[in-house]
Parts: sequence; C-alpha cells; structure tokens
Amino acid sequence: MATFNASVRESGKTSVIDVSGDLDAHTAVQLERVFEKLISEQRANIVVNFSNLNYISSAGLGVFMAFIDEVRSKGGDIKFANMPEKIYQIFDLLGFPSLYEIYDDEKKAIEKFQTNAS
Amino acid sequence: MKEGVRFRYALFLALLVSEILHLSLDIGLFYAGDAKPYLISLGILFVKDALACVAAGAMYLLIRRQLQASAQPDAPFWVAPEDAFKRGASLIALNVALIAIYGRLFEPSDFNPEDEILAVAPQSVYTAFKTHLSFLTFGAYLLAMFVVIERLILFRRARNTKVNFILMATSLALGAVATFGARKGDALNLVAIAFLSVAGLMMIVNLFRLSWILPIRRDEKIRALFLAPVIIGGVAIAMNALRIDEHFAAHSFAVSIFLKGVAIFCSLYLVVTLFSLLFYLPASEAYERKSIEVRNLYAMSKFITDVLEEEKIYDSLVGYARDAFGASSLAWFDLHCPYDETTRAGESAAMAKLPNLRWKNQNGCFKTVAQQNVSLDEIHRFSSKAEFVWREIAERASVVRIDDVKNDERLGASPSAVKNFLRRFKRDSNSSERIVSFIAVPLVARNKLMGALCVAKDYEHGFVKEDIELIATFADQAALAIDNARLIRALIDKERLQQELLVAQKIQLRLLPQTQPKASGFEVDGVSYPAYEVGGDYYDYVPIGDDERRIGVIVADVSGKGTSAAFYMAELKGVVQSLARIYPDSPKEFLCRANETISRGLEKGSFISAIYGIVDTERKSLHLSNAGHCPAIVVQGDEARFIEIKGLALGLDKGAIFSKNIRETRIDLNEGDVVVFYTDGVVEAIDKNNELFGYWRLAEVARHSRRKSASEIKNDIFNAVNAFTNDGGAVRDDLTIVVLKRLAA
Repeated sequence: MATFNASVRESGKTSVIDVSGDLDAHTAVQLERVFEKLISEQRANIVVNFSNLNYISSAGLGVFMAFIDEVRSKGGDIKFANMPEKIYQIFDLLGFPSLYEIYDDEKKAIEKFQTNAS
Repeated sequence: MKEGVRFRYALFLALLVSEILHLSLDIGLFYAGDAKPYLISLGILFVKDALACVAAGAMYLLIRRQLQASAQPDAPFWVAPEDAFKRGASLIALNVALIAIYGRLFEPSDFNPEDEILAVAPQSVYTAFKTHLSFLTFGAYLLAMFVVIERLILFRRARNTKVNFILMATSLALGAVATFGARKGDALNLVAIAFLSVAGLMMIVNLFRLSWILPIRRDEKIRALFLAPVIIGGVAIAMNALRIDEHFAAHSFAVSIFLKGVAIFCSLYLVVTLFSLLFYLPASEAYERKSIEVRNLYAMSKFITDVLEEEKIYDSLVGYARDAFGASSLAWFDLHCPYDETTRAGESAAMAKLPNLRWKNQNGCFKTVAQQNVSLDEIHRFSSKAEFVWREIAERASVVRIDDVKNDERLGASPSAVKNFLRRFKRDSNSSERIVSFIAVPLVARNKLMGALCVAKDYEHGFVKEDIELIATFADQAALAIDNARLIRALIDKERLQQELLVAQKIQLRLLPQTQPKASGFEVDGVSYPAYEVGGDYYDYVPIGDDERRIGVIVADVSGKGTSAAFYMAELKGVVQSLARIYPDSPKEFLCRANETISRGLEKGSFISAIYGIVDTERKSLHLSNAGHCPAIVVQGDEARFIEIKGLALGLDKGAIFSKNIRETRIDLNEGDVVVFYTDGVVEAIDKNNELFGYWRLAEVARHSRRKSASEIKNDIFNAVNAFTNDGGAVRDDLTIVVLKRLAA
C-alpha cells in the first residue's frame, strides 16, 4: 500500500501539519486523528503543508471538510500551503479555493494567523 | 443375556440342591451318631467335601455374576470403593448380629471333640442348622468381599496383576481341594502345604495393589478410614468369638481352608488399605486440586472449539480461574482494547469514557468485562493504586504478582519488616480491602495482547509458582479461544458485509438509467463501472417538460465509497428527478437548489461533484453548469476543448458561497458535435509507471472517434483507459462515461 504520513510542527501559536504520500480512504483516518488531537489541545490555528503529498482522494478532501466548522467555531482556521500543481488542480476543481485560504508558502499562512491575532 | 440368566438359575439350583443334600446328610449323621455311631464311616467326609465344594463354587460364581450384573458394563469396579466400605460394614454387622442371635436362641453348638468318629457328626440339629446358616451367610459375605477386592486389585492393572491374583486364588483353591476327606486337626498333606504356601506368597504380592485409593475423594477416604476397622473387627469377631471357623470346618474342612484363606487375605488387605489411607490422606487434597485443574483445563480446551461468543469465553475463563483458586478468591478479566487503524478515533474516545475502564494510554485501554466475587468498585480502588500492573502488561505482556498489597514497594509501601509484623496485631478492623495478594497474566495470541486475567486472594502470599503456571496455562488456552472467536466473528461480519454490498450494488445498478433517452436529432449513451462492489458514481437522464423537448443529463461523483455512497446516490437521484422538472431552464439554478437539499442530508466531510447539462433538442443547444466536477469535453469540427466552468462541489457549502461561485454557459451544437461527460476515474487511471491517463489523452480519444456513434465513442474511451491501465496500471476510482452527440440530419 501507498504510504502516508502526517506530522505536526509547532510554530508559535500555529500548528503545521506536514502531509506526505497518498491521502486516500485508508489513510484519511490518520489525518483525522491528528486533527482530533490538535482540536482537543485547543490548537485551532492550523496550516497544512502539502509539499510532499503525492495523491489525494475525495475521502482525503473530506477530512478537511469534516473539521473546518469546528476549527472555525473555536476562532481558528485551516489554511493550505505549498500545494503541488496536480494537488491544487483537484482542490480547484471542487471549488475549495473559495472556502479555504491557499498559500504558496507556509510562512505566509503563519503570518496571516499572527496578523489576525494582533 | 438370556443365557446368563439361565446360567444363574442353574447355579442357584446347584447351590440349593447341594446344600439341602448336605443338610440332610448332617441331620442324618447327628441321628446316626446318637444311635448307631458305628455306622459312620470317615468316607462320608469325602461326600460332605464334594457337596460343600459344589455349593461353594456355585455360590462364588453366583455372587460374582450378580455383582458384575449390577455394575455399569465398563466400570472398573463392580462396587465402587466408597460404596464397598459402606456396604461391607453394614453387611458384616448384619451377619454378626444374625449368628449371634442364633447362638443366643438355641443351645450353644459344639462338636464331639473326644470321639474320633463322632467329631464328624454335629452335636445337635441346631448345630447342623447353624453350620449351614453360617456357610450361607458368612461364607457368602467372604466370597463377595473376595470378588470386590479382586476388582480393586485389578484396577489400573499392570501386566502381571491378573496373573498374580488368579495364581493366588487357584493355589488357595487347589490347596483346599488337596485336603479332601481330611478332618479338622489332621495334619495337612504335602501337596496341600505346597499349594497353600504358594497361595500365601501370592497373597503378599497382591496385598500391595492399592492404586484405587488415590483417586477417591478425601471425605470418602476419611469415611473408609473408619469403616475398614469395622469390617476387619466384624470378620475377626465372626470367625473367632462366634466360632464360625469351627462351623466352617464342620461343614467341610476343605472348603473351610479356602474360606479361612479368603478371610485372612481380605483382612490383611484391609489392614494394608487402612495404612495406605492414612498415608495418602495428606496428599489427597493436592491430588484433588490437580485433578480439578486437569478437568478445568480440559473443559477450557473444549471451549476453544465449542464457544464462539467472546463474552461467554470471558465469563467462563473467570469462572475456571476461580474454581482453580478456591471459592474465596476474587477473579476478573480486563479486556485490552487497542486504538488501531480500524478503530475510529471517535469510537476510541467514546470507549475511554466507559465506567469500567481500568487504565489507558495513547495506544489502548483496559476495561473489565467479566468479574466474579468482586465488585467493580473494589477493582477500581485497587487499580487506582496499582496502575503499574496494567502498564506492565500492556508494555511487556509479563505476569505481574503482588504478594502483599500493603507491603509492596511498587505500591509505595515501605518494606519494613517490623512494621509489617506489628501491623498484623492491629489487624484489619478498619480495612475491608479484600485484594491482598494478586496475580495478573496477559492473554496473548498471535503476538496480540487480548487482555489480562486477574485473580486476587484476601490473604498475603496467596499465590505460589505452580499457581502462576496454572493461571498462565488458562490464559494461553483462553487467548486461543478468544482469538478463534474473533476470527470467526470477523469472517461472519465480512460475509454479512459482502451480502450488504451485494444488495447495495443491486440497488445502485437500478438507480442508473436502464435505457437511452429519446432525443430527436441526438444520441446519448453512458456507462458506469464501480471500482469496488459499490461505487460512488452516478449518471442519469431526465426528460424535461411534457413535450420532452429538453433532456437533463447529470454525471456525479459521491465522495466516499461503499454502502453510504450508495444511499447518497439514491438520495441524489430523487433530488435530480424532481428538481430537474422544477428548474427546466437553468442548470445553475438547478444545482443551487440541489446543493441546498443535499447539504442537509450529507455527512460531514462528504460531498458530491456534479456536472449538469440541459440539452435543448429544438434549439440544438446545451446549457451547462458544473459543481466541482471534471470539465466536459466538446468536440466541434476536429477540435476538442474543455468547457471549464467555475463551481463548488455539492455539500461543501450550504448556500451563499455556493451560489456566488456557480456559473453556467450555453453551447450551440452543430451536426456531428460531440460532448463527453466523465468522472475522475477516467483521468486518474494510471499505467504501470504511475502516469495518469489525464485530460489530454481523453480529449485525444474523443477527437479521434468523433465520427462514430455515441455508443462507439463511449466504448472507445473505455477501451483506451483499459488499454492504458493494462499490464500493471490501475483504474483507482469508479469510471463513468456519458457521450452526447448531435446527429447529422
């Protein structure tokens, strides 16, 4: 099976999730768990770094859908960064850019959180 | 069977006849001795011996048959040992009483000792009767005892056991026969002495066959300990105090030798038994426990094959453990629930809130699922102190033993011997903690931790090394049984799921259009292949308006697969079929309404991408709108292009953002123009090098086949994808293709 990994880095009050490999129906659970943990720790400022993601299926996209309301209700957000072109196409096709903020660079996303907070 | 009954009647008859004849002879002898003693010849003794032999032989066989018939066909004992002692004691009491009463009622019996010839004749008629009564009652008793003891000796026989016994019995009998015609007081002949010596020797050999003692229960042994002396004493009283040996001798000297031998042997055997009982008594508790263990283990191993319900296995495991450690012990089972890939994070969080939870870390938790003689409260109190027990089991799967809860360093107690000694004196008036010594063993099968079996006792140092071995064996057996049950459960679940999927598949196939729509001047054809049993792709045609001038065409992809996707599909079909007629003019309007309706029913994280077009067969145009779906391909002339229209997938947003983003467009279709709708299964198919089939190849196939019919174009695309994925590639998602073509006039 294709491998998938999701690891969390802390950058101030923002958590960055690095996703890599194939995010499909089987591996989506792992990402769900990461989100759950962050939410339970009250860390609602989340940036997802896609730079090493190879493939995303609709179930993978569903993970972001499943948590966005909860995160936003806590005053945070899920922002996307460093998307490879083919991943962006999929997000774009489904209309995600009008629902989520997508940045070229993870730093910009983190900055955005900071400026919002100040 | 009938044969046996007849034989028994014959034996009984032989006994009766010989005894009557013998009795008559004795009475005759008495009168002859009184009147004409010179008529008595010593040769008469041969007749008496012969008659007595027949009687004794018949009686022995009769008793043997009777005892054998009363027992179970395969029983090792004809009379169970514990039963034999009871019956033996009561019968000897009866015998002694009967003969004693007889002796009281009538004048004392005696034989003429002075006269050589008269010694053969009884002193009185009563004496003659007493002689025969003694033979029939006490003689029968001795023979019965002989048979019972024979069976005891033969229990768990070794190779020579039976031979030894038969040798003893026959040499005794032959020795007796060798004395035929002799009188009491006569010197024994050499042959008789030889046989009797052999018999005596063999008696010693047979005396020590006592293998039956060990298995009988402790309380039975104690009872036997009291009953054996009663029997020995009874036999001694009857033989000596009641002078039965003299009567036996008067009855027939030869037979009396045999009976005396039997009496001696039986008494000695009982004496040896008595001592053995005394010796075995202390060991018998241990023996009994071992045999309970063996029985329990056997029952457990049967369990593996018999019981498939996990809960039942937990309960019986705890029950067996408690059986093995005594009724006062406390036992419970903590199930290990790992949080693995298959357990959704939400489920495990819910599980962690259970009230009977023992312990948890990020990898899993323990919860008590079966307990006996212990309350959850007690376990809770204990587990909050002794958390290390569960940690140890979870991390190392090792056996944990606590000899004294109050004096264990791991529980934070100070190991001061003096303090502990003193503690004993102000004992436990305020503490009602019953978990004092404790042992826990992990259940492991196929390297997977299933749980922990815990047993506790209410006193210190309640468990020794053997106990650990025993409980570990239980645990191993139970782990196997649980593993087995789970495997079978999983199989059953899988089968059920398969059935459900088949049903869903059938439903789904019926949701797809069964025929092509009638559209004058146009051809439409479509196909959908699910990647798994149940797919998430959907396409449909809706005739709009009464004149059916317009036709709605939808291609959609429900995120997620399996049964839930099939249900969303069903819902989607309902929405499409109704809304398409309500919004006949604008596909954008249609998708907005569809989004509102569907968003409400959709699970969080699920969405549907859809492309919807309205074909106007009169104006020859296609009105198109796209909700996050793959762009349609239009082939006009020999040019293929993608119609890219912005729009969100259904279910991503409930209304405002969706409506703001959705667009629509109108395309005029000329003769021969082709429109291709498809799902991402087509463009995301990969070849062996992991390369995508992609938009470009799809457009190329459509352009190349543009002159063919709609069905042929559809087939060409499908075949192209198949050819591409062949040889190591894969279609990773459901694959749907719908082709619309305006026909040439």
